Amino acid sequence: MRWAEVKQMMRDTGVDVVGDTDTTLALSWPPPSGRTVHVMAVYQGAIGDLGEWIGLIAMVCQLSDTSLEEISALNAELFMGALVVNPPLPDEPDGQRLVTLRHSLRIDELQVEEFMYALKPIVLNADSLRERINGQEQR
Amino acid sequence: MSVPAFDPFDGAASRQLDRLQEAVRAIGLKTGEVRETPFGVGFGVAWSDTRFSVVSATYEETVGFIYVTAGVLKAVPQARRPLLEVCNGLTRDNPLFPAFLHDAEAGWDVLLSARSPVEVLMSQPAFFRLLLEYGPGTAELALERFAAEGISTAERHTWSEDVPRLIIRSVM
Repeated sequence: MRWAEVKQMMRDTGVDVVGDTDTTLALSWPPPSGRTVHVMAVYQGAIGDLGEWIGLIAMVCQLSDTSLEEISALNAELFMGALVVNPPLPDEPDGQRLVTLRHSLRIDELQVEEFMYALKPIVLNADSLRERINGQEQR
Repeated sequence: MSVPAFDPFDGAASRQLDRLQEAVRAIGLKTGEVRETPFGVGFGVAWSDTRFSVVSATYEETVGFIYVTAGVLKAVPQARRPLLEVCNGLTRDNPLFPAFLHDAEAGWDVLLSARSPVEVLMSQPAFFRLLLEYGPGTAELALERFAAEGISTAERHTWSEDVPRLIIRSVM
């Protein structure tokens, strides 16, 4: 399994590691705005004959559950990652759903350059989308 | 059907698609001809009449990005919320291929479409091949998800009929 090697590789990049379990590595990396963006790397295992994969999940914002159409429209502009609206959180106010930016990476031959090539736009996109979505919500 | 197209970049999109078509052939896949539509240009890569991907670009960009698209539902009944919920769930499970509801007046379709920089696909043929092959297989799984929610269509997108339809819907 390459997951252990990939975890070590992620640590070696210098990105802050703020949590570590058997199947996840929680990363924190500041975009130029200075805000913190949290990204979870999640081991997804082997998918058919497509090898082993990880998911990168960046936290974007919380929304009322009426915004699926806007979220879908924003996806058409992205080239790294896709926005999704997650199921309602059990301990949050009614209608509040977490919006995340997700990307999948095949790790069989993953090198640090390819990982960083994915991680940087995920963080930058998550940061800018948070502003954009929150702006739309306030209008 | 050949539609005269407006290309403000004087054929830049078609030239980019020609390069990509060569790249697809170099990785051992057969492509259809480059098709021009009023809104974008593209070509298909088929394994059967209902199992195919479309590679497309819009005329409006600098043609640095292209779309790899597979059709899921054609002319689907217009129930926006359930369709968006399933699309959201599909995207959550497979962010490489976000699922979109394309709600044109002429009919609503659901597509899987990945937007990617051209140079990444040119320099990473294994990734390009993965996208091309993964789309139709993922579309089959998506059909099952929609069917489980009671959503289906009588028609499927077909290679023989719908390459221009998917080119247009992928870019707008």
